[in-house]
Amino acid sequence: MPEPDETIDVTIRVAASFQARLDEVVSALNDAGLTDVDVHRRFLMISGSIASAQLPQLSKIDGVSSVRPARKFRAI
Amino acid sequence: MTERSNSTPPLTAAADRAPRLGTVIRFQPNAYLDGVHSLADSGFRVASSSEFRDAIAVPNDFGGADVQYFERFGIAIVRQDAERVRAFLAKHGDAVVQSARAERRYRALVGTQSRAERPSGPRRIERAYVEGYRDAVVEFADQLLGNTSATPDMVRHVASDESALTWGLQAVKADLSRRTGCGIRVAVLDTGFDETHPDFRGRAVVKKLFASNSSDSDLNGHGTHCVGTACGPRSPVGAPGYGIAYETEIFAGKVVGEDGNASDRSVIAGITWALDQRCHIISMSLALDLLLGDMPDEDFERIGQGCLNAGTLIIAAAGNASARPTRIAPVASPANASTIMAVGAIDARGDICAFSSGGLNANQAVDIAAPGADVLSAAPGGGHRRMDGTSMATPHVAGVAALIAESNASFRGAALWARVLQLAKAVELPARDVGKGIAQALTG
Repeated sequence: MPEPDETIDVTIRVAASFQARLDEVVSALNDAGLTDVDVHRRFLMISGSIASAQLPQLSKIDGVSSVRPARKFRAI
Repeated sequence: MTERSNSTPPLTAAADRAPRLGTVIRFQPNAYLDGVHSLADSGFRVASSSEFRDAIAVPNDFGGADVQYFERFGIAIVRQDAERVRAFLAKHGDAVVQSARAERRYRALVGTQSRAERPSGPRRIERAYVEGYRDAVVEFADQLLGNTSATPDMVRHVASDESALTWGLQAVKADLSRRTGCGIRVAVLDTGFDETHPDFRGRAVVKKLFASNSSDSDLNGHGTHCVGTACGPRSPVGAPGYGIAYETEIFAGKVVGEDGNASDRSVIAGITWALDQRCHIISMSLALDLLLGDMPDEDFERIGQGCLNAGTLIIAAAGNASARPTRIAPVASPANASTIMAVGAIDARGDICAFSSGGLNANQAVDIAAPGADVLSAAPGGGHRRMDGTSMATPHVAGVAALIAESNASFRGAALWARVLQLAKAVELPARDVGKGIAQALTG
C-alpha cells in the first residue's frame, strides 16, 4: 500500500458521453488534487499525479469512468 | 532486443499469491439472477465483479467475500467449505445451476520452469532428436513436392545470403515490391532516432521528445534500429539493404527514456502526436509483460480504435517474455488490445523465436509474424548492429504496411490492417505464435 502522502501517477479515462464536457471534468480533477495534468483530448484520457490519500476522490467525479495507476512499458 | 528484459513475475509466484481454490458454479442462462440470489439467501457473502469495475485494482478474493460473482458470464466461484457448497447444490442445483466443478489453477502450456531450472541431458537429447526428425521429414517432403510448399525452408534458403539484402527483407519479400513507401508517413515511438546517421542523409525526418528527464538523442540505439528496418535504405554503404519502406517520411517520437521506460503519459502523448502529424502507421516496439488470465486494457482498446477511425494503424511488439519450449508467455500490453496489431518473431530458419510471446489469453492474439532474430539495421553514430526481439519484427511489419498503404489510398486504418493480414504467407507454425503468417510485401 502506498503511504498517504505518496504521490502516484494515474491514467484516467473519461466517459464518451462527457466528450463535450471534458474541460469540466479536468477542472473537477484539478479541484480534487490532480496535478501535472496532461489531457489527451483525442482519446478522452488524462494523465496526472495525485497524493494517494486523495486518490479515491477521483473516481467519484462525474464523467470519470476509470482511474488506474500509470504503467511503465519497456523497449524490448 | 539483444539485452532483453524479462520482468514477468514467475507464474509460480502468481499461483502462490492466489487464494485457495473453490468451486466454480455456472448458472443456467436464464437463471443468473435467481442463482446469485439463492447463494445470498443461503448465507454466502457475495461480491460481484461490477463492484470493482471502477476500482484501481481488483483484489483476488474480492475483498474477502465467500462468493465472487461474474455477472457477465453467470459464473460464481465459491470459496467456502465443501459441505456448505454441496448443501447449496442439493437444494438449488436443479433450478438454477448448469454445472459445478472444482476450481482449476492454470499454467503455461509446458510448465513454468525457467531455462536454468530445466533438466539437462535427456531432455536436450530428446529435443535434438525431435528436431532432426522434423528436418528429415521436411527435406523428404520438399523432395517429393519439388520444394513448392510454403515451408520454413524457403526462409532458410534466403537467410543464407545477405550480400545484397538482409534476410529479413528477403523473408518479407520487400525486394519483390516496386513500392518504396513514398508519400506514407511512419511514426516509430521508441528510444529516439539518430537522424545524423549517413544512411538517412536527405531523408524527411521529424523528431519529438516525450520521455521525461531525457535528451532527444537515441542513447540506447533501439529506436534507431527500428527506424532503420521500417524506413531505412536499400543500398547503404558497408551493409546490405536493411530498410523496407525506404522513401517514407520518418516521424521518430522518443517515448522511452534513458532509463529504458515509457510511461502511459509519454506513450499516449506520442500516439496523439503521430495522429496530429497524419501518420498512416505507428510502430511501437515496447511492452509491458502480462500474466495468464490478464485482460486487455480498455484504455488501449480505445486508443487503437481511435487510431483506426482516424486511418492510422498501430503495430506493436507481441513481447519477449517466452522461454520456449518450456514456457510461452501471453501477448504483452499494448499489443494485446484487439485494435492494435500484435507481431511475433521468427528466426532465419523460419522457426518461432524462443522469446516470442504467444496468443494464450482469450482474444489477445498474435496477428502476424516477421523476422525478429539476428536482424541487421542502423546503429547510432553511423554504424550497424544486429539485434533480436519482437521489437525487431514489429518494424518489418510497419515497413511492409507502408508499402501496402502506398499501393492503394483506400488501404488505411482497418482496411490496411485487413490487407496486411490478407497478404501474409501462411506457414506451418501455430496461429497462436504467428497469427495469419509471415508479413509479405507482394504489392506489385
